[in-house]
Amino acid sequence: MRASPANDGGNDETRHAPVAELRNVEKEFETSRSVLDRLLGDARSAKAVCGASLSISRGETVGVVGESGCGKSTLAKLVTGELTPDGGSVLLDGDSVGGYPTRTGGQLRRIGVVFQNVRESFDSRWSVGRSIAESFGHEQQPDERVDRIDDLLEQVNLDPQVGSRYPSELSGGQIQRAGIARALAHDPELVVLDEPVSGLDVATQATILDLLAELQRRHEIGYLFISHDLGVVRYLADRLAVMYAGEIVERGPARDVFERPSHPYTEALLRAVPSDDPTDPPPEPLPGSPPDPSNRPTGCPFHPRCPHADGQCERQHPEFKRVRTTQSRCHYADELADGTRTNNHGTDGERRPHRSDS
Amino acid sequence: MMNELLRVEDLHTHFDSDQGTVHAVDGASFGVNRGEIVGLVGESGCGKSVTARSIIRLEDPGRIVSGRISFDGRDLTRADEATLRRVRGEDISIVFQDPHETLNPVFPIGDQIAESVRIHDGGSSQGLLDFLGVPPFRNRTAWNRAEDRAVELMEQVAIPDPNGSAAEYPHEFSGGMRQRAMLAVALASDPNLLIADEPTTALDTTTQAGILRQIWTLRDQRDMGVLLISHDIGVVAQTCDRVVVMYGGQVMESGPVDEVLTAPKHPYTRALLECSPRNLGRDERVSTLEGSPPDAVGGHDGCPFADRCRLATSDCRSGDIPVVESDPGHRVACIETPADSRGTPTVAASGQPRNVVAPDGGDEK
Repeated sequence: MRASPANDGGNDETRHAPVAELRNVEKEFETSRSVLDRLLGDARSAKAVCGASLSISRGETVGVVGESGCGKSTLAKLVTGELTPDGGSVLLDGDSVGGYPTRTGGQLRRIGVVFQNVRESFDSRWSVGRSIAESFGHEQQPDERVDRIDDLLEQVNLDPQVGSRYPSELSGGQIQRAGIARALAHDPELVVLDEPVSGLDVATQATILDLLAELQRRHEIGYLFISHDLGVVRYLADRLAVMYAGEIVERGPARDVFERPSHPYTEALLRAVPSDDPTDPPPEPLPGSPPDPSNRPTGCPFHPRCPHADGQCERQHPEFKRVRTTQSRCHYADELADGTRTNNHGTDGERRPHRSDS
Repeated sequence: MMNELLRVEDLHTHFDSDQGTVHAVDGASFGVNRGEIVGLVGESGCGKSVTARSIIRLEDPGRIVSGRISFDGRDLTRADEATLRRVRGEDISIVFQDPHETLNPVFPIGDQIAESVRIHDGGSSQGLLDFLGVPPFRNRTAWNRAEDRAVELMEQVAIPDPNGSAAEYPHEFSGGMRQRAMLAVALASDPNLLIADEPTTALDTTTQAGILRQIWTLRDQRDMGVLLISHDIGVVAQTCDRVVVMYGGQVMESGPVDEVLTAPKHPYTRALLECSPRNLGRDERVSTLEGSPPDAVGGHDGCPFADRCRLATSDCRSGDIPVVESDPGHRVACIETPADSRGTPTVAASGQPRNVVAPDGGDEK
């Protein structure tokens, strides 16, 4: 359905030239804004994204996963132009671009966005149809607009009547569909989906995922799919990027990353997903919390939480290593992928205390 | 059953709206035993949260029209406000979905836990002025004791550095830590039953696993009953002993998780499981449930799932649906109770007599 032949070859390159590409982008936020701090040179900056590279082509889905605060949403905002990178470059069809103000109308229309809190991204005093029509170019005639709104709503399996309703009148699934319709209004080649199904129940989630897959097939759109739920990403993504503390720590074809993770963080994320089958081993928490972005640890940013870490990880920041089809930023990527690296702390194998029924 | 802690029997909770009476809970029955974690799953709008609120009698503006909620032998549907206040505080605690909104942003976490300890502290006299913190009226020793207990509770729910964290404010805590703090508040009264309404939905999976593990540990330490409400099947499968599947305000299927989630008998449970994108093979398509959940205005005649069910017959749309106990403790409210999805015939289908029991979702009698 969505498999592109290039992916099976285990290559990061796909059949199309990338629509959007990030090259070593950096983004910092200032945490302390007082004038005195600045004068004294005390202004600390929090690194939200450090040297991330990623490309998205038409017709493919690139999943970005990681815990909250890892920089996923910042990465998405750099692609859409809501933020301007502090370092590195964002390329749209090969042209380097900055934030919204510097992009041309044509460039802006290449990318559609489905925002994280969809309901809040609609103006509560505007009908859904009017919000969708706002994305149209000025060349469309008023009567064409109505047809176009109806057409968009039908594409996302909504009754055209929904166009005249207000956001507060729609259910969670309906407003999500309306958000997708709005993102498609200007025929984008790339849609950025920021947590499109979080907060929805399983049944609604399934219909939205199915709709996204269907729209991708029909329009050959590329998706940048951001989620903290690996189960959802596994369903839709062709390629996967795992982020930790603003860095991409592992990337490669989604299937390979899921089947044979070569970074301990990816491994930990996968182990934390509760399986639907009660006979499977219980999910394992990842102790500790992500590092303070304004005070990053030396060496590998994951080493304080990593069960495999040793002296080298504390001193030296790992570069990307190629392990079969995936790339991983871990000194011990090869051993991890083969399963030969043993755990230093012996926290593995902890099982659920007991199940009372038999 | 001897160690049954909570029993919900044919509960009906209604809301009045402009469109008519909404039958949010429409005859739900289930039970929770001591030391048992029971999962309540279903789509949004199926009545899970209203059921939870009805149990602690916070169903307002809804009203319980019929049914019985017995907790430890007491009927909560008939209890007066004073009894309810005691039960809510001391016997049943509830943890809500969003820890951002349940903690007070202007008080340190430790104080909020201590306050909860102090409220349930029956041994010393309490007055309004004591709680307002007016120094001459403040019972210093009792508050100091409560603060020590708060630190102890924080330690129990695995908050690192409990002494230091007690002085921190909610915004200084991460989402997972805030949810742990809420657990500590809920545990302050040493409850017999903990109701957790989507406790991990707003959290990362890595944090979620920690909170779920915490719930097992607490259950094991205190032998409390837990009612865990979630729409995430994985969470229920990995945490609970028994599961109650709700739809349209009614219990569709209930039983041990190992049976219900591996060999579901009710078409709705099966549909719900098929919706989950997890454990799907490559290029398998997720299946979707056609249609939307039923409008609960006016209640249902027959099975609420009939309109979306592939196996529905005209019998499903009228009259009462019998609840069949297919295996001990595994109850299904379906006329068909067809062979399960793995292709093996169910016990009932293989010729063993079915026992038709009262509409009920509890454990074996």
